[in-house]
Amino acid sequence: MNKIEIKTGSQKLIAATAFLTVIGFSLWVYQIVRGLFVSDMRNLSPWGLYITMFMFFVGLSAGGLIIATVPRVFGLKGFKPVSKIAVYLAICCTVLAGLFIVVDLGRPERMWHLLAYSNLGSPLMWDVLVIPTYLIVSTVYLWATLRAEKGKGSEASLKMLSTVALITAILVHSVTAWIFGLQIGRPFWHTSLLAPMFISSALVSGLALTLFVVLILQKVGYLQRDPESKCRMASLLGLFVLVDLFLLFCELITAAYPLGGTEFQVVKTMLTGIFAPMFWIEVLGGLLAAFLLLNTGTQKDNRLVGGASLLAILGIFFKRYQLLLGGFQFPNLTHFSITTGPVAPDAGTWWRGLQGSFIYFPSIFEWSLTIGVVSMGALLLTLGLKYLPLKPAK
Amino acid sequence: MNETQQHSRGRQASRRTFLKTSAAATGAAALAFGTGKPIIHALAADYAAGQVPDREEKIFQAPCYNNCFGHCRLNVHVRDGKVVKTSRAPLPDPRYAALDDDPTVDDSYYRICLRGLSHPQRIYSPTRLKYPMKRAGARGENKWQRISWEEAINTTAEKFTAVQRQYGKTALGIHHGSGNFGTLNGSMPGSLGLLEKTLGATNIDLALDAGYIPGINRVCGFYPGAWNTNEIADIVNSRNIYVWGHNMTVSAIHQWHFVADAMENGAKLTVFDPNFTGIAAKAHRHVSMRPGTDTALIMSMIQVILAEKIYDQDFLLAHTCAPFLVRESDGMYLRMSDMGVPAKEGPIFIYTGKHTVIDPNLVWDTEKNKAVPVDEATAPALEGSFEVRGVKVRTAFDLLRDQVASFDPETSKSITDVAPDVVRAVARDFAKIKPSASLIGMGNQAYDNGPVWGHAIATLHAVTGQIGKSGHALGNPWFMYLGINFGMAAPEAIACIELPELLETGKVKGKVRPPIKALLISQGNPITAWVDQNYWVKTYWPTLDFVVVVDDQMTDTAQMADIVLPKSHWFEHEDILPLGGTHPFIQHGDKAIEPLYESRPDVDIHRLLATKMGFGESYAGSNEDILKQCFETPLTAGYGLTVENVRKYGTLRFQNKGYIAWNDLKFNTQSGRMEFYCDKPVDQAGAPVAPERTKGQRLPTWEQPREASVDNPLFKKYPLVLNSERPRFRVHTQWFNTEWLRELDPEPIIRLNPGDAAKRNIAHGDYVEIYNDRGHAVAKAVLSGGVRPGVMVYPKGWQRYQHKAGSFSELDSRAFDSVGINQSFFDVLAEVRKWNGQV
Amino acid sequence: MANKRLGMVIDTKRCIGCHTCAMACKVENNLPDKNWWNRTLTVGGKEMDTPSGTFPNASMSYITLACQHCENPACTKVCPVGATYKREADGVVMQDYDKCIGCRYCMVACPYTGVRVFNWEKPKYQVDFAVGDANVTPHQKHTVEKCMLCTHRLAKGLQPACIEVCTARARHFGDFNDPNSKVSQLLLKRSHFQLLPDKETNPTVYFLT
Ligand SMILES: Nc1nc2c(c(=O)[nH]1)N[C@H]1C(S)=C(S)[C@@H](COP(=O)(O)OP(=O)(O)OC[C@H]3O[C@@H](n4cnc5c(=O)[nH]c(N)nc54)[C@H](O)[C@@H]3O)O[C@H]1N2
Ligand SMILES: Nc1nc2c(c(=O)[nH]1)N[C@H]1C(S)=C(S)[C@@H](COP(=O)(O)OP(=O)(O)OC[C@H]3O[C@@H](n4cnc5c(=O)[nH]c(N)nc54)[C@H](O)[C@@H]3O)O[C@H]1N2
Ligand code: SF4
Ligand code: SF4
Ligand code: SF4
Ligand code: SF4
Ligand code: SF4
Ligand SMILES: [Mo]
Repeated sequence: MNKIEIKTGSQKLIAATAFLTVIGFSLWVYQIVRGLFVSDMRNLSPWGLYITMFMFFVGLSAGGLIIATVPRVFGLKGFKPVSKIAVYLAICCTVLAGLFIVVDLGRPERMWHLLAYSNLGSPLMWDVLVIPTYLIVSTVYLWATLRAEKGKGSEASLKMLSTVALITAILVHSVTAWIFGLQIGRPFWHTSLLAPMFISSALVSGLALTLFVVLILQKVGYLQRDPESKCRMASLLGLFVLVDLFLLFCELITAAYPLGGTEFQVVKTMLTGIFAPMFWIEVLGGLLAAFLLLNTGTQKDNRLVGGASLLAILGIFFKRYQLLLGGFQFPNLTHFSITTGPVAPDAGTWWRGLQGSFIYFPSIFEWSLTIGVVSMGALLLTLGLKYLPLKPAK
Repeated sequence: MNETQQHSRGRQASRRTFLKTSAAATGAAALAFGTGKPIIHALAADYAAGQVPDREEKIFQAPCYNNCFGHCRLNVHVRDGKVVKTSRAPLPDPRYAALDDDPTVDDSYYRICLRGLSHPQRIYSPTRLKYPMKRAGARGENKWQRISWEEAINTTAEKFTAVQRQYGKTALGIHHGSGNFGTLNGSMPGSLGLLEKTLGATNIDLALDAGYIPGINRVCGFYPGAWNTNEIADIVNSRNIYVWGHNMTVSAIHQWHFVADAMENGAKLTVFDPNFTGIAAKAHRHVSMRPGTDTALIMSMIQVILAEKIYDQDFLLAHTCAPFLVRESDGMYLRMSDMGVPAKEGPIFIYTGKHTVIDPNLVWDTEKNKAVPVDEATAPALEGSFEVRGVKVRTAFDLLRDQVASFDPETSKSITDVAPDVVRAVARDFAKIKPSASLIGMGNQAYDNGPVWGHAIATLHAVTGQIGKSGHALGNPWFMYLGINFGMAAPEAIACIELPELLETGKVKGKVRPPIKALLISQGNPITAWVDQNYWVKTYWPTLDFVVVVDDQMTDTAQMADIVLPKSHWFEHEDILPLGGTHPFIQHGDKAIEPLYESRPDVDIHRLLATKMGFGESYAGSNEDILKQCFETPLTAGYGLTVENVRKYGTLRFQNKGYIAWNDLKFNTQSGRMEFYCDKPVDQAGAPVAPERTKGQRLPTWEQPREASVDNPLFKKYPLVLNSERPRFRVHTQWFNTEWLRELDPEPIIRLNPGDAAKRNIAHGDYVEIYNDRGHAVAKAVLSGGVRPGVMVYPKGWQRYQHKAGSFSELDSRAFDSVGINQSFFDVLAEVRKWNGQV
Repeated sequence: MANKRLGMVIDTKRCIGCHTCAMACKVENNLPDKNWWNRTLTVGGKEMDTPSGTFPNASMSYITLACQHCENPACTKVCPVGATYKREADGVVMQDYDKCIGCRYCMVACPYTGVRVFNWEKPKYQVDFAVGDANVTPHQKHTVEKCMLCTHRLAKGLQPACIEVCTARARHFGDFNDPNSKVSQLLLKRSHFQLLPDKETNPTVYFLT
């Protein structure tokens, strides 16, 4: 694609994403005015798609940064040409992660309470502190990288900065995981493995997104083709996918082995119950992606690698969604009672058949607002690619 | 604040001082509402314990007038002229404590329920009828046009007078349901009774809850309200409690804590009910039987007791008809009048106002070896055949033993489906454990064989002597009242289920009388409450010239009216509740607020109508005069119950504390004894039973239910017995559209046994259609292991529009037993299938 | 003076699941439509008032569930702004509607299904004036609310609204720190259980069996 096509293409993209962002914003305002009732979230499922997307984008953000900083911190052969793009991608995802928290809040106008009355014992409070820090650190890191290209600042300071960035990235995932993992009230979540799993999932989704974006940018000519680093990234991604599946396997076998108790019920729901479709796409998709990414033959074919990356990202989204839903699908007290407030949209009481139906499924409104927010991320990315010197230095 | 509120405020102040509450909130902290300062608003107001007035809140007191028989005394809290909540009021009212011989605060009768707490939503219901309306479409089309009170009363008076002129006075029917038991504005013989009497109208009687009455009255004699049983507080002294056909934890929730106390004292609880109900879940033992077969079960229990000779011989000989001699020829008792000593007139029986008859029964004195009047016998024979002046006679006890002989537990199992060892166990317990009690609901009388069941249960008590002492109960204190002025009544009454016979033949029980051509309906919702709804709506209603309904919601019945008049809510007018229901207190009800919109109390409507129809003089007096006229009778005077007293003390007991029924063991039968053998059985209306049925009604006799029985050929087509159950979240249809309650109870359901449902591949939550030849109803299926196979149960009281199609009230039959003359709500067969969506 | 530990003892042998205590709470606190702070749960089949087991071997009982005012609440720990907190003096776990940012983390953390409810839209009422007690804090959209042990009544020296109304005389309220209180005595005399003890919240509501 020549320059003109890139230019008009990016303008169309910017226009589209800007338009969708405005739509997203207006939906958010409508949601505040009309009420979160427009979502499918109810008292038995107080969180939903927004918080899932929050987890998902925290994962996506850290992945990019880790790929950019790990080679520098440990002196490995990095992915220099794409490291700036990876970091910027991380920044966009972090912004989105923060936005999804805001969109989920009932009283966003009271966010200042988080500073005025902060309760430092709350994992959510930790995240509220860590995410802005992470955003600042990764922005400074990008800024420092750009300055370094202009000869200012030293490699040592860059190395130090990347170490700080790496630590913050690890912290962001662990803290985000602890929001869920520390809750004894939600057996589905209450496992010490959650933080490591969040990190491995972040690596998968972060790298997959970076790889996919790089392939697109190479296709549109923004970047030169670099088959060697692409294959290396593909192999690394394949490895991360397998590690992630391994951790998932550890979790399942531990829960299932007693062949009894609530954990076993949960595993059964994942293997054969209502979670089965998502679960098997995640596992089989992951294995397929890993094969495509690791196999020297297939890893050369950009379309296959791109497809495998998307498959990996989809798998991680399902993992996040299942985690969130799993926390609410199995209430601790299952004695029948009247509605606990608007438990399900008035459309019907399909939640009654807990075994045969989901306690929550995102409403059309939630999907639309989510698209709006993600479009803002796409807008930020496109603008960044357009106006920031993210191309590899000559 | 207008005059009446000022008046009540004045009285309120005097009452308040008496209630010893601190006059005003002291030290109430600044109530910083919504000033954005994020602190919870501290409220400091120090009041004495109990419900105390808040800020400028006033507390009035009134009973909850409807007929769940709880008749709770409620505090009605009024703030800024609005009823903001209700709460439990002391019952008895503390002021009464000064009269009571034991002034210690006994809160066992303090009571309220979820419905009573929802009054604010009924008073300020958005669908409350606000002004008189006349029909603007066909009956049932629910199209209305607002009219003035003047036009409404004029039209009604004109139409009613025309009907009475054309067909006769009694062509005007007045039907009252059970919606409000007040004297002025309710259905107890009070202002409405005065109107019926004044207009010479016909009272269309509810004809329900009465199936067992002919049976129980044969054995124990007439008693107003059927059950004369111990004050419920006495049940704590019982050792062995049997609950028959009674969903107590739903239909009499305020009885339960007394039973729970008894159980904590060691009493054993057994529940007799086809279904596993709430009360069965609390019981030590649940006996499930095929619906409508309890009489056979009780006869089987009596068979065991007689066979194992564990009956109470002394009681039988001293207080029952057991030793009475019966002529083998015609089954009549051998009385002194048969021996040439003419019967004499006894004293007037207070409940009927008629003279009693003294004609002593003869017994066989084993010492004197001859028949003697019962009072002269020293050693009456319990068993044996004898001959007196050539007349062959046998003791009533012998006849009873023969009657139950074929009901040994093994044989009776084929009828009742109750295991023989269970029958023996419950029989022995009831004979041996003293005191035993039977708390009885309306389940058993809801089949055509209600009368014989009443006869059987009373006989069981007679045979075991379980009556007349603390810890006993025969019945349920549903209608513990004496404040009823039977004089305030229509000249003629007809049971609602006899209307079809009158329509078709112009006669009732063979007696010619004018047809019913106009109806005034108040405190009732017959289109939902009566059996066989389609008959009334499609066949009967078109024959009526004019129908007026007085209500405060657009009920099924109001929709079938030509004119609807808005009545005021119970706390918008003063009244006296002349009965206690399940507690022994008569109550005064304050007027807490003014009637809303253009609604009026029933008594004012009666006055307007009577005056317009030319009978103003009977309502010339004030409401106070009418209240005195209706409430103050020789009966109530005897208990010191005057309007003045009841208003002054709020609540007054009409029974001495710890009332024990029949404690003198003097029964209201002719002989003064429990007559389980009744040679001249009468029907519900007191008329002699038809000759061909007399023989079958003298002793407890097993009769199959009319429809709901396996022997009915209809059983093949409709194999499921359809029962209703009391709705927790309504009293019949009242509260039907109170939103708070609808959140707990959103839509009609039908409870199915999972096995029966599976046979029809009905899953939990499916919408199903219950149907038979009379009609259908659609409801959501609830699969429950509590429902006996072969039975379906629906909570009653839904209005038609709340069903997706049809109504439960279409399904029951208007056939009735000639002795019981009672609506048999459970004597119904039906089938159920997945609903195909057709309305 | 010494801190109190206020809570309830509910006798499941007596409770008949009549919802009167649930309704008393709803009216007293002027709860918005569809919100219930105290609910009657059927311990039995798949629907209200249905037993477990197959006929005739069935069993059914009831528990009423509102905030358990836990000694070690899972909710107050997670609230990022301290809008829900446990009062020192009497152990009541409070909700500050003005402070709450509506993140609903407390609903996620509380193990007791349905105890915390959120106003998903502007609170709606069937009656157009506030019913119940005049001193109840007005409800707010997009905030979490739950039983607060009727603090407005405690301030007046009254028991919570859901106690005296119990038709079965199954509900008892008092201070567990006072050994002579009715509730403490009941725990000595009767066998009892707490809901979800394995969640380590140590609820201040005990059920007698
Ligand atoms: N909440 C509430 N309470 C009410 C009322 C209300 O509408 N709502 N209505 C009031 C009135 S007017 C009345 S008359 C009473 C009625 O009070 P109940 O008679 O207790 O009312 P039901 O719920 O009809 O209970 C009938 C019971 O009889 C059982 N049954 C059915 N067939 C048979 C049988 O063949 N044998 C035996 N042994 N049992 C059988 C049923 O399973 C059911 O449990 O309730 C009063 N209380
Ligand atoms: N299928 C089936 N049907 C049944 C039964 C059953 O078990 N199964 N039970 C039967 C029994 S036992 C009974 S007692 C009947 C009860 O049937 P009804 O006596 O008709 O009782 P409700 O349905 O409560 O109707 C009472 C009406 O009176 C109105 N009302 C209340 N207060 C006042 C007042 O002060 N003035 C006036 N004018 N109106 C007032 C109410 O708004 C309500 O519409 O139902 C019977 N129907
Ligand atoms: S509906 Fe019945 S039990 Fe409830 S408050 Fe009224 S009288 Fe009492
Ligand atoms: S029950 Fe739930 S909301 Fe109440 S104190 Fe315990 S954890 Fe908190
Ligand atoms: S919803 Fe309100 S009370 Fe609950 S955790 Fe969030 S801020 Fe705290
Ligand atoms: S203590 Fe008060 S707020 Fe809590 S459940 Fe009872 S009535 Fe409701
Ligand atoms: S009021 Fe009493 S009996 Fe009724 S549900 Fe509540 S605790 Fe149980
Ligand atoms: Mo009744």
